[in-house]
Amino acid sequence: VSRLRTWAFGLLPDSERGWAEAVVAEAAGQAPGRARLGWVVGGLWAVSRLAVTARRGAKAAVFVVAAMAAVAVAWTGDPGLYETWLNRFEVVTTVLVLAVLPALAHLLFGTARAGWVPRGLRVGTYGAVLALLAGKARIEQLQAVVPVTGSYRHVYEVVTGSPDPEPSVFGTVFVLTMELAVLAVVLGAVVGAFWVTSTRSGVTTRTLRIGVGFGLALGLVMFVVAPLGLTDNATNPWLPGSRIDPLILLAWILLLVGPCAAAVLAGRGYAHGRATSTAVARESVRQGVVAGTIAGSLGALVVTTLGTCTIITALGSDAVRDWLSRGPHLTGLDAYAYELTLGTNAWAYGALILTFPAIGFLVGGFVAQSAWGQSSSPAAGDGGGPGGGRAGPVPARGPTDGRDVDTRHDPTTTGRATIRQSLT
Amino acid sequence: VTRRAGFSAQTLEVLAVLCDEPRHWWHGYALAKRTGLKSGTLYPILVRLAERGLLDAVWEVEPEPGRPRRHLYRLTDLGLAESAAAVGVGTEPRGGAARNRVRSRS
Repeated sequence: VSRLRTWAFGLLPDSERGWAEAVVAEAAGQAPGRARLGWVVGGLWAVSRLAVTARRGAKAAVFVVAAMAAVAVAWTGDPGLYETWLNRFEVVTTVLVLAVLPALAHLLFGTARAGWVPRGLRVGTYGAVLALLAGKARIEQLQAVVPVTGSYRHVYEVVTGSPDPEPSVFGTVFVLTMELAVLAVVLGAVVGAFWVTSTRSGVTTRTLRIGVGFGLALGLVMFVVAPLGLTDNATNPWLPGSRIDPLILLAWILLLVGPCAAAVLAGRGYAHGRATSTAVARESVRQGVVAGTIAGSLGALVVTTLGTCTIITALGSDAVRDWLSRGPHLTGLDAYAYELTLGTNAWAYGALILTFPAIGFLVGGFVAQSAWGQSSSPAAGDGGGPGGGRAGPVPARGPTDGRDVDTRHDPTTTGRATIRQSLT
Repeated sequence: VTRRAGFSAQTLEVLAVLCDEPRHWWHGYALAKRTGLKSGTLYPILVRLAERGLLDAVWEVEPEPGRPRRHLYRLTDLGLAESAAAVGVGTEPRGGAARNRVRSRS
């Protein structure tokens, strides 16, 4: 135990190691059993967290490494193809935006909220966006190379459905527009993550948790059903029902139900315990819309990123490709056809990333508006409108110190008020 | 002394205890007992106070037999002034006054 402790403490930086030893030294004062274990675990966990969060330089280094990896993946490719240059432009633009965004968001949106969920959403979105763009570039590199003749050319034409690999002007403009739209949505997702986790947005922690929870669930279910791109069948070859449509149907139902449920829970959570008023109803609608949008956007990001990464793993590893295709003896031509099919299926993820956020917004907005919209109209309720008499209470907005906007449930605020009262 | 912003309620509790006997060296367990804070809350507060130069932290020179050396804490002069301003009491050693206030809260 002593050796293990010495080794574990050795992992900590010097500045935190002494604090970890201090925690352990005090453990003898605690009653043996759960109290002592709780003291040691709680103290060491807190000190370890400080060691991690204090290392801003380490965080910057992780970002630089991840960004360089993404750029490196996008940079490899035939420089004679416009797809290569498009991918380079997208990745470099994204990296530059991601680099300046924290400072910009601080200026525009105020302090970023602390806590595991807000921080996880920001960091997770960063990682997902970099992985997604790198994976997309890798897949497009495969598709951009057109075999000249022979069986491979035939397979290419059959799989991609493009007998003429030379794109028309209209086709090129369409592809460019879609690429830019995907880029805009992806960067919009990062900006959105900063906004909803900022104090100025007024999005409550509860709303954030609900949106993130439903978004993760939606994305993971979609990924389990369609880890190898999107077709009219489940693309997971290991699912027993992968040849039937109901699984896809289930995933699409979740797409509609997820944001809907998120909106209802977030709106109800906000209204719970507050006196009915126009302002509260209006804020409930807003919280519902935000929760639905987060659920749809995050679901799209999760399934698209995980699916794209699965596909590029299959492209880069024969063993993974064979395992995924359930056929360890693919010929070279079969393998090429399989990889090309995966790349083609991956294109549909682009449709998901473009449509899911909008669906989440619309579904969440519709449900929240249906539930509280009537109460939020100026003519209804107890005020706010021209004939409404005295204005209703204004919902709690975000304080500027980075804490939760919902002061009813903010133990820090309550505690501070208590101690101020007791000390005066 | 101007009031220093950024002290949480838990930090104020710790400061109140430390202010109570400013020349006394406290150890973590005693602070936890007095404030009711758990180790996961107490130690980050102590770390931040020490980083801001408000807290002296030293190792015990003569530990009790059979016990490991403990970390001891007390406010620096700056910490005493800052915490006095934050909790709204004077900088003089106050004996049991602040202690009674903290106790009356619980």
